Amino acid sequence: MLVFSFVISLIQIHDAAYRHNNTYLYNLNSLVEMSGFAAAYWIELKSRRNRTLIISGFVVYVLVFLYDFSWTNIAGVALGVQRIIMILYALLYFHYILTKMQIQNLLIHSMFWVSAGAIVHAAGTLFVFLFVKVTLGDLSSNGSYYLYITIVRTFSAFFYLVLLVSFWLRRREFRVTDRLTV
Amino acid sequence: MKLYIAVGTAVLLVMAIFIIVFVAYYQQKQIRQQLILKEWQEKYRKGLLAATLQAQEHERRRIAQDLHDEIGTMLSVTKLSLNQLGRTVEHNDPGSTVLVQKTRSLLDETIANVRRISRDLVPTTLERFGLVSALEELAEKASNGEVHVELSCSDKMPTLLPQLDLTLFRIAQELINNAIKHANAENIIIDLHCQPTGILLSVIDDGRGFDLDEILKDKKRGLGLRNIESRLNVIDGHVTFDVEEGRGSRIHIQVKNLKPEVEVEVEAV
Repeated sequence: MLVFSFVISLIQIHDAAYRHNNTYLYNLNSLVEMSGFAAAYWIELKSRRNRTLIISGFVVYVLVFLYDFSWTNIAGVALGVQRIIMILYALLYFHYILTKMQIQNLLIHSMFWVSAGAIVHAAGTLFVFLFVKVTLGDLSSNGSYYLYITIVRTFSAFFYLVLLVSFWLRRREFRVTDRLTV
Repeated sequence: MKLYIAVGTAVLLVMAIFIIVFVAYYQQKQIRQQLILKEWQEKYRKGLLAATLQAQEHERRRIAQDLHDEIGTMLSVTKLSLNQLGRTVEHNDPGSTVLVQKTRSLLDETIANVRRISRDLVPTTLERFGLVSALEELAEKASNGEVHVELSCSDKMPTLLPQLDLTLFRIAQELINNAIKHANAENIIIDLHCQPTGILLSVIDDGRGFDLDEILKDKKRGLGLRNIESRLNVIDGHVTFDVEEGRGSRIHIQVKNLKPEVEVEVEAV
């Protein structure tokens, strides 16, 4: 997911440099993010009920994405729905953590930070995309586009930093598991 | 509209942060409570186990006391009566003398058996002279023409807590019994050593060994081995089984020579 997002960002920069429209890449990036997320939670949450919810959420998102996708505009509704489903996934995982009580130290558990990052990222950018015409629709020099796009980028950067920390924690978890199973 | 978006986003963010903090705090609190509960359960289980062992020892003492004081006494009185009867019979019916003598020897054997069982039930040597003497006695009793049991021991053995003495003795008793009865061992070595970390008791035999996993899997078998583990659990001891089918077994028991958390009171008869 990180690699795909990175490639998409590079293409965005390339398109922007040649003054080509690159807003469709936001939409594609959303699809990549959601696929990665659904896969991660699918692996982590093994109960049938949770997996049904994950799949249902993903299907709803894909349907909205297909309906709302545009090559020339940011698909605000699809991105908004993506954030709502991200929040739902994170809440689902928090519920799982609190009911199963299998994690000794939550602060060094990677999926907790992934979920925390996701919920903050989604909460911070949800309304920006749900009301995309008001927030990112006004491209005039005194418009709010630059303010909101900066907000979106800041939350995205924060989220990707949290993801990196989670990756590092995940490697540590694997090492500990290997040591315990050898 | 923009104001609403800003307020909405701020509210959502505050809620998100609150949820994260709540989950982290609540989960950690629950984990702490779970750990405390587990500790209590473990303590309770140990207490229960200690009480069971204590009750077992009390029961052994009671039976030993009953055998010694009641049945033993009755048998002695019976022997006295038989002696009197023997003297009368000798004058009146000399033919019955052989029968009286036979009954007397049977009675002697029964008295000796009652005494042996009574002594086996309560290790009096252990209480009077300590673990080393009790193990020496055990080795001597177990040795016969076919089986040779030898005790190897440190020169300086510290005085152990009575509970520790009794546990080690009972374990040695069980292991020797197993080696003779199940492994058909001919040579058994009881190794008792004092280490800086605690006391090490090893029972080594040249019997046919056994498959530990198979025995522990079967709930009907391995009662003695499970009993050893239970006894050690009470005093925070460890058992290491170096066993394999077809060769002799080496069983090592390690216990700390410290005051344990759960104490079993040992009363003298």
